[in-house]
Formats: sequence, C-alpha cells, structure tokens
Amino acid sequence: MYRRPRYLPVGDKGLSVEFGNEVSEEINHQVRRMALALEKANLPGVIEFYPTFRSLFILYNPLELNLKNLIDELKKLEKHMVEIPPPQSRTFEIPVVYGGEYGIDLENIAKFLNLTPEEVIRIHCSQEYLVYMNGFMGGAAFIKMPDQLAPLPRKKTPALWMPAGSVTFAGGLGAVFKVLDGPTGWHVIGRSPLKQWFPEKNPPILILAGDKVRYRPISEREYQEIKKLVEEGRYEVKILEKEKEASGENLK
Amino acid sequence: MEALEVLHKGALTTTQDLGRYGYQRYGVPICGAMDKFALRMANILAGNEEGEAALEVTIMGPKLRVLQGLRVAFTGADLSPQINGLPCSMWCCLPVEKGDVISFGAPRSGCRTYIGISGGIDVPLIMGSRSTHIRTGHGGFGRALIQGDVIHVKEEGKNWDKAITPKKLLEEQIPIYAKDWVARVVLGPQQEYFTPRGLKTFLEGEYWITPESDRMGYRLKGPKIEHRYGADIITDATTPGSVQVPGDGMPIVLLADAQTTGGYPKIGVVISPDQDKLAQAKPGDRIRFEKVSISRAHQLLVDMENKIKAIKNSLTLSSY
Repeated sequence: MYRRPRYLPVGDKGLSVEFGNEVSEEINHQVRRMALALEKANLPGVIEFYPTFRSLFILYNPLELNLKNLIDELKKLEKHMVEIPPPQSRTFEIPVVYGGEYGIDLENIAKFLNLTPEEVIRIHCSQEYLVYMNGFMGGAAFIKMPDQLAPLPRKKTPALWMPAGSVTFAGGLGAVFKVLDGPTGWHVIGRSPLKQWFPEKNPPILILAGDKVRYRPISEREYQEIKKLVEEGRYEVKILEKEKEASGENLK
Repeated sequence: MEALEVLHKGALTTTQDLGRYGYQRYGVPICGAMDKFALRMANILAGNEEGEAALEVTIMGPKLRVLQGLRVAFTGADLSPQINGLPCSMWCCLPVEKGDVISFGAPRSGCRTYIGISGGIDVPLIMGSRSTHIRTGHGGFGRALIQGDVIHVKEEGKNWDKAITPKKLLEEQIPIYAKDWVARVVLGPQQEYFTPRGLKTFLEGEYWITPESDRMGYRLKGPKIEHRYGADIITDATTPGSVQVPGDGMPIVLLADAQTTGGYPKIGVVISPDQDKLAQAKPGDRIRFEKVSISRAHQLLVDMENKIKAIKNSLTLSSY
C-alpha cells in the first residue's frame, strides 16, 4: 500500500485514486472505504464512481466540478475514512461441477501446478474468497486465487467461446464465474449453474464487490436440477452467512 | 405511438441516447451514441430534448416506413439519406408523412448517421437509459433492429407550421469527416508503463483502423508501442476514450460500449469531443494522436458546449 494514495487523471472526465500496486484485502478495503465516504459526501459534479482491485475510479463533469477541487475534497475524505465501518457483506455458496466437459482445463491446470486434479479441486473449494470488484460487462465478480493456484499464467491463445457459468482463473486472479458466453484467456476449472446478470433488477447483479464466495462441488445431475430452477427464477442462492452491520441489524 | 416500421434492417441500427450512468459499479458499460454531438443535434433539430433516444445507423442504412406524420432530422455521417427515393438534406428538420419511405444509398462520408424523431423513441428505460447494449442484450430492442420492428415515439409530435422556416444548421456549423483523423489525448493513467521511445512512437506514428472495430473499441495497426514493464497491470477502470496497449504493442481505443475494467496499461485517453469525431472514422481510415494538457482538454470541452449553445441560439432565431 502506498503511504498516500496517488491521484491519476484519466482523460478529461476521469480520476483514478490508486491506493497500491498489488492485490490485497487491505488495499481493497481502503478503496471501498473511500467509495463509501464519497457516497456520503454526495459531491455535486461527481457523476459516478466504482472500486477496482486497488483503485477507485471517479467520473466527474469538469463543467461543474474543477479537477483540483475534486482532489482537494477527496484528500479531506481520506482523513475520515478510518471512521467508516468496512462495507457489509454476504457469503454466497457457489455450486460447481468440476472437470470433464464442464471444466475442460482441469487436467492441464493440475499438470502445470504439479498437483492431481483432486488436489486442485480441494484447494479451490476449501476457502472463502473476497469479491474485490465487479467489472468488464454484465457485472463479472473478481477474486484473488490462493497461493497454490496462483502460478498458473493466462492461456497463450484465448478460447474463442466458453459458456456463461464457466469458473475461470489465471495469473493469480479469478472470475467467480463467467457472466456471458464468449471468449476467455483464463483456464476453465468447472461450471456453475448460477446467474449473475439480471438487467431488469436493481442492483442488476447478484454478487457485489465486498461479498464473499465459497465453492461447493456438485454432480452433473445436481447441476442440471439447479440450472432448471435458476432458469425458472425459482432457485434461492444459498447465503452461508451475513455479516452484521455496526448497528447490529441484519441486512435484508 | 407507432412512428416507423423497419422494412429492411441495414447493417447495424440501434436506439441510443446519451448513455447509462451510475451502473458501472455493477459492471454495466455506459453505451449511448458513439457521436454525442450528432445525437444532440438530431434531437434539437427534431424538436426534442437533447438527450432523447434516436436511431444510430451504421454505414449501410435501413429502410423505414413512416407510420404517422413526424419530423425527422439526419445528422452525422452522410450515408445518402433519401425520402421516397429522393435525396434529402441533412442537419435540418424534415417533415415526413404517413406512408413515406426513408432509405439510404452509398456511404459518402463518416460512419454513423443519427435519425432524430419528433417525440423521441419510446423504448423502456433500462437503468435510466434507452441505449442498446448488444453484447448483454439490454436496452432498446436488446439487439440491432430487424425487419418488422416497429419504433414507437413517446408523444405525438406537436403540430408544427410548415410555413415556419425549417430548422437547419449553417454550413460552418456542420462537421467535415475526412479519412485522416487527429485524436487528442490526455496521457496516462499508465504512461510510465511505456519507454520514452514507446511514447514517442504513439505520438508520432500513424495508425490505421482495422476491421476488428466496433462500438466497444477500435483495434489499430501501426508502429509498435514499446512497453517498459510488460503489458499487464492490476485490472482497473477503463473508460470510453482509453487507449490500451496489449502485449503486441498495437493500441486499442475504447469507445461508447467500453467494458468498465481491463488489465492492459492505458497510455492515454482520447478527449470527449474527439471520441465523437472517432465515431465517424471507418476501418481503413488513419489516426494520429496528439497530446493535450488536462486544462486544455477542459477548455476544449467548454468550447464544445459553447458551440452547441450558439447553434441552439441561431436555430431559435431562424425559426421566427
């Protein structure tokens, strides 16, 4: 983490507040704390803002808000950030069919990491992951991989098409699961029947930055059963725990 | 109420407004018109608020049947618009009657025409916008228009007196679209990821737009931009205008449908008024990048708004 955040202009309407140059929970918490502080501050001329792994991006209207004034305001907020409780979170259970046609890269992943496929699965599903950010399109949720799985690099040649639901990772980072059908340069370990993208709802996505996820291995049959319920809008995603807010009240 | 029926779909026509804001935190791209100046003009000329949804027509235009008396305005690219087979003027307000047919001929200059329609297009507001995002299938028709689609307008066009001088932009207010473009950029946020030579190449080289270009971004080819620390950064925000440079050293300019985040270093960001210009660039056209300071970029933004104000004023005067 940098001693002080860096303020980096992004074109004529953007500002990136960068807190560090690594993926760590500590840095990401700072990013989301600043997002919270900015939410409360409700500055005129700020159009929107969103957290990424290690920086907060702010879109502003320079016709309304001078860049220097924006940075001054943010520097004031820096001082109050510690007082803001960390964002509330839920832990979602993500069912996954590992390997086979659902996770076509499992064997190769195992070979590269010098593990057996069973060991790879065990490592993958035996821990809780923090969702650092939503991004790309359709609200993809991004996580950091455990050390044993981190050395796997991106594919040299991206796969041109992988279905939504594919659970992927590479270069130390992972997507909880792929939101849309399409290409990916990350390795596919399995597939989840869950959906992330609900454009008609608000918020339009299920898993939010600050939430946590844990994978649960399921059979192909269970995958089909859950998938059907998801498509009919009848599947209730299992929430393993809800963190309580500072006030002690449960989240909705 | 019903306004237009699609008789032939053309290459790619979608509903777009000024974009979808406030949802990037959920990984929802802004979208909206590629050329926001032309969209605003199309609406102003058709008698609408500037930010109403209009049709964005790409290269090969559609064929549309008019279902009720309307005012329409064609702005942006000259794709040879016609009414009932006869060439019609652009950058002005045109009355059309029930049964008229709007069509397009050969593309003459630019890439995207906007059709402003009196009343404004009536499609559901999705996350505050009527813009279409094809990749996720939301907004507008959730896809490009196809034969048989019926476009509704929000309110019946108010009665207008044809005797009043029709609204029209002055010749000098209309942008000229060539095949060589200068895109002004604010350097950063990751210019330190490039060697001095890489930066020099970027600012002095000439790039051409490859066919792998769409509303999400243009892939460019030209002199290779040299990285200093490799082509991977920890994924952060990508905003329309971002010029990201992957490992092959060939820049990609992200535009209206830009993904909200990405992992390639961004050497610079094209300023907003020049994103509008690039919306009119086509595969095969050439681009050079020119560095501007932030304060200059902000002044150019003010200039752009002043220009639009001046146009609005001159239109108000001419209709008396």
